[in-house]
Amino acid sequence: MSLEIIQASPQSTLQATPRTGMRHVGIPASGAADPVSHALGARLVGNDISCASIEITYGPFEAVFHCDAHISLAGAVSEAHITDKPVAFHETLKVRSGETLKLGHPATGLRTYVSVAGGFKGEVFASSTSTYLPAHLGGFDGRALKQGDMLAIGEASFPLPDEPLRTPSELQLPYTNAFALRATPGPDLPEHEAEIWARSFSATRRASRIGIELDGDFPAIEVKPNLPSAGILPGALQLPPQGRGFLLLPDCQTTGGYPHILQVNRSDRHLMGQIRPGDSVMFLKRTPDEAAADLKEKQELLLPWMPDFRL
Amino acid sequence: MTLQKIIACGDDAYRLIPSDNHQRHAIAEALRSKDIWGEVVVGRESVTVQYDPYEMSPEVARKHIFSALEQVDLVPQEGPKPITLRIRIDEKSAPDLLTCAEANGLSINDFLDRITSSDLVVDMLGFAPGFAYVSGVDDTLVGQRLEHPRQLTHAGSVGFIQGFLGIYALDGPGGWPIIGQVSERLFDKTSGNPVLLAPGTRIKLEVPQ
Repeated sequence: MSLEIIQASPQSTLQATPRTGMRHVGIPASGAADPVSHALGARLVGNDISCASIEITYGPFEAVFHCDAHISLAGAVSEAHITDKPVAFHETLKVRSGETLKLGHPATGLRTYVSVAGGFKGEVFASSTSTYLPAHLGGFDGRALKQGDMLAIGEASFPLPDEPLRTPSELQLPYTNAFALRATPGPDLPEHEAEIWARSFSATRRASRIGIELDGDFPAIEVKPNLPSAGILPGALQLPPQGRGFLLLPDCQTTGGYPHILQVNRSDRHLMGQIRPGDSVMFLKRTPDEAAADLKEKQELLLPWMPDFRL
Repeated sequence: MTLQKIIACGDDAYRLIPSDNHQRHAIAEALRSKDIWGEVVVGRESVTVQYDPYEMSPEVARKHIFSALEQVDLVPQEGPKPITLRIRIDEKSAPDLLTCAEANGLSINDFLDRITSSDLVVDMLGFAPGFAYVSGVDDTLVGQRLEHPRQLTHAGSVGFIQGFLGIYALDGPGGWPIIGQVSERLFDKTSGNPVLLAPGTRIKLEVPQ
């Protein structure tokens, strides 16, 4: 019961649910950078979202199955083949032992999720199999996958129906090269700052699971030097002194001392995992109460299909 | 218990700034006594608390925070147990000890005496998993970050900058001058509670003779 990696560049890792309740001892969240796509993929193969998927950043990706398996593809859509046959995203796929899964580069979006019934087995650290690369924790030996790795596959939890499952079309999110993320002001945004909501920013090549650098016309912010370090969470937009924004993703540190100017809202944080270098990013202003209403709306769109998933 | 400020930190967190900075750990403990928060993180002058806006509105979260703050006054918080750490100071374990002592015009023994007799407490964790910022160090001692950070600082290393020790729980890059290495295991990745030093822990440092 295994999958052998043939190509997994530039970065593929095992990711599942985030680690929660551990930030006070310096342990970051990790988990799928786009948790909605990971959960949609898990749903198609009957997995709990705590089962690990392979999170592929940009591709190409190639792997050969050493067992029969049910798999699914979700997230950033690329050309996909099982052996020589083109296959679709967002439906349950059957793979025979010896067959090869091949993915190209996605046209838009950045991260693709390969899920397998039973989940990929990995090292569990602090109740999660998710990989945290900077400290080599969790996942496959705490590191990114490379050629020759053999990933063990768990036992499927229930028999899959003969007919493939398909993600409801309203939940198949298309990505473009322009992201509009709903956000609320952070603690260090000057009170009457309005320009930031009218501008768009560009994602630079400095992008990883820790965060994405944004270039553009950020407001000049006067803050006292040496802000005291404070707890910080994924979704925060920090503005370091060099003047480019840094949007924090799931592997970000637990505390920070840079000005925290915006916070991407919980409803839209999953989209951050699909921003690629060169994409444009705008922020749509919300109050915390409006943000709670947005969250309720999106959560209730997802619940009928994925009752156990929370944004 | 009074707050100097409570600030919305985006759509699902509040940052609390207590009037008395020493109250941060008691506030965090009181908040954690109710299992309704995502994260409760102590910073240098704040406690950040994350909630799920699908479960409670920003207003309800605020009310829960204030009821926890009342508990801080009513129920004395115990805090984590004090921990004694034994620190090795051989050349390999303490590459910057002599430089740090000399920068203060002290012998190694006198420099270490000043540190071990300080009232040390884990102020907060951050930067890396299990990395502990320890406050209370005799602040007449001077010291600053290395000009060239090391690619590899070993787990257990104790760094020193003015006013603080920084204890590395894992191997990793590091910018603090290293004055020793503790023998205790600070991080156990197989444990459900992998980090030994919790925020608020009082620390006794011992140099084995």
